[in-house]
Amino acid sequence: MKQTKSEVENQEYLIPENKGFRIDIFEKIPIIKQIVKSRYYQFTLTFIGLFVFFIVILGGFIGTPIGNRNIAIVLIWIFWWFLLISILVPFLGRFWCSMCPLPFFGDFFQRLSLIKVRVGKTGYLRNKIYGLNKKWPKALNNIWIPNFTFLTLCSFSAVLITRPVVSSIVLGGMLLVATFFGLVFNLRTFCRHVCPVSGFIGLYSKASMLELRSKDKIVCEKCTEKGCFRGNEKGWGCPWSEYMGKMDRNNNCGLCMECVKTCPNDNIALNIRPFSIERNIKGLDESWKAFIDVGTSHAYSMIYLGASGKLKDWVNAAESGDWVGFFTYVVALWLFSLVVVPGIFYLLSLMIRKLSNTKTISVKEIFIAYSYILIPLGLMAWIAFSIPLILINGSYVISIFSDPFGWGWDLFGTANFHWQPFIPDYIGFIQIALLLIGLGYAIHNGFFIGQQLFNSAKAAFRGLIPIAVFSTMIVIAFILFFLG
Amino acid sequence: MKHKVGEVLASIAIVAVLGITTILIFHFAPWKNNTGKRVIFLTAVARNGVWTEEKVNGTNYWLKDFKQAVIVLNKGEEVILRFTSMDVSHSFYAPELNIGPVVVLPGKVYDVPFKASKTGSFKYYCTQVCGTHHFYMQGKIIILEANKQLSPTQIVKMQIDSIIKGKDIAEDSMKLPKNFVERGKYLFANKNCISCHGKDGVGGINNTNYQLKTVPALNTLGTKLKIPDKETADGLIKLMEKNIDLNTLDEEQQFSTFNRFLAQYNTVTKKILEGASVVQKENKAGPYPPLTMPAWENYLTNEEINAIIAYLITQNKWEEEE
Repeated sequence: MKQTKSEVENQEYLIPENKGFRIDIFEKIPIIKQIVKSRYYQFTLTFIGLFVFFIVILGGFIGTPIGNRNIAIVLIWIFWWFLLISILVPFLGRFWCSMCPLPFFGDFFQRLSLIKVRVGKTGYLRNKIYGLNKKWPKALNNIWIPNFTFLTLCSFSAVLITRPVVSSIVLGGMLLVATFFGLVFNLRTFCRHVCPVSGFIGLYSKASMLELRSKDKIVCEKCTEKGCFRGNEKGWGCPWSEYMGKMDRNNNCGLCMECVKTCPNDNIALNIRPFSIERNIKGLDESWKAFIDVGTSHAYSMIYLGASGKLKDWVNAAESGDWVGFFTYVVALWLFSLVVVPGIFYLLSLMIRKLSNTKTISVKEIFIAYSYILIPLGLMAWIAFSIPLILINGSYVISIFSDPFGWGWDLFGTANFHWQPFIPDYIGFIQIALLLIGLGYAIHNGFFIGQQLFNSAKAAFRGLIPIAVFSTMIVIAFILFFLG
Repeated sequence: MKHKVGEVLASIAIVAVLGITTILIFHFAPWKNNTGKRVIFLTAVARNGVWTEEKVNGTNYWLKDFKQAVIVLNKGEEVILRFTSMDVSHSFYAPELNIGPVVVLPGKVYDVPFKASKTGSFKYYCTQVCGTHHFYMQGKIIILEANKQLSPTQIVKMQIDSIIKGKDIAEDSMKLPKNFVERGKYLFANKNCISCHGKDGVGGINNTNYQLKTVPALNTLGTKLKIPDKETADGLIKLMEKNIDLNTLDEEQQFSTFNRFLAQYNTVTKKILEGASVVQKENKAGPYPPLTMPAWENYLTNEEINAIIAYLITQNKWEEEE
């Protein structure tokens, strides 16, 4: 039977259940549960984040303009980026969001508290929330804005990652925007629908090995209080507006652990799970996010790890003054990410439909479902891109620790630690290994998705051919950028 | 109320940690003087080609044109010269006052105590090639009699009168012209040859303790190259423009002093390419002269060197013109 348009749009294009092992950390290590249940847990994390963020922003404005001597560049674009993409996202999902300082003031103005919980009534919540609490427009209830904000930041990456003051202005600006959103819109609207980093982390956290889920959905169904969603005297209703009874994706779980505190049935588990098992892509906005991330990782690899001086001049127009080149680069980046990669993927979807000999599954369904394969592949490509950052330039972090502003301090005796690359001869091999792992997961998931879509191993295998060829070509392109 | 104490402690923690951190940061900032002496802050900015006394940080570095410092001291005054660099490695050198060369690495602070023991006007330099404006990174240290002062207007005038003028000429000069000789003129200004050899190569720039006292003038290069007259000079320039190797000229293209010309021409070209890191001192025990000829091997092509030589030949006054 043909599905209606709204049925197609609302459908999650994959298995309802994510198979594979689960190990509940709360059960295995109860002290972790005790810690996250404490009302001081998130404040402590965010406070650390806020303190570092404060130093970073200050560093950009008052510290040296030399990037490798300023904490605003070294900590953010070498250390944090590597940590985020290579450790936090693949292993801990959105853990960064639980300590991100950007929504700190927005949260504070909404709650007018740092630790305690206010009981009351605000909309569906059983908490007292201040601020205007406006509803975010339904038409924007997706990640299209993060898609464009991320691409915009990528367009100006050269100046962003080399000039400390620009990094500070952007980070400070994001803090102000997040605070404004906290005052005007309800809960974490900024994080869900605006933040460029959140969109990026959200999508890749689907591949993560950590998930926060309800232990038993039936218990949730029977629960009348819905403390996780609505809050209670023990904690705030989910700041990300997620209901644990239905949540089966990492996309919008900020791991703030409020639900662990508020669940009246002690029905929340923090699970370790296999890598890249959450294959449910919900809509075109998420598919496009995957395309953008692959497109930008290609561009970054070409620009920052490639050998073309001309291209570097185009991207770094603030230094080279080549604004025509810069405009060409921006147009090419946006076209490649928003049109070329999705265009190729659309053609692949047509081929998959043809090869799988299906009539009942639309091209759109195939397009959205298969776009998941770009998540493990894209994540590995980003990690492969980030590896040289930390292995080549990581030694700057050690000296920055003692002299964050490039002022000649030596707080911990490491300021004179000289720059030295770490195992530079092996970086290429590590990158290739990572890309091959990503390729393996992409092909494995492609087959799995095909089976779920077409309900036939044969059709899935046929459908896999274009995807496998495409993924392999992507990996070859990356290897050429990295080693060429 | 539950967590009331925690709420108060958390609020105090935020204010205290951020507040105390801010106070500590600014207390130990490099522009803070904790020495008990007058500190003269000299920050190197390669982008402008200056040692400046103005405060430079990540915010204003990209936006502001910093002024070359004119350091004014009184005789007998003891100060600390505090050097920092906001971009690349520099080297501060005031040979007449026996200061430096102090190698100033970015992200480091160097304190150099100095006692002003003699009056006069002394030059300071950057002696490490630090960018396209390196050659203008020169300024003055004025030491006055005790209790005398310079007015701010006088200091500003000194800044204007300094070598910065040369920089303006370089920046105002036309974009790389097609005409061969004009291109030489452009390169002579744009590569900052004028900062040492003077505008149009007239020379006269003092080089402390240099055997010849000043950097050699180049507007007499035609004569030094043993070119007999303007006509021959024009002919040679045409050959250079065609990128013809002058070492391979036919006999009919040669002139009476050709062999001496060729020897001189090759010496000059070699000197431009390789530079002259060793400069003869006037007083062997005195300071090393600050201005040395840099090597242009990696920055100028043979054709560009020929264009500069051709331009300098055109500056020559020939006997018939005189």
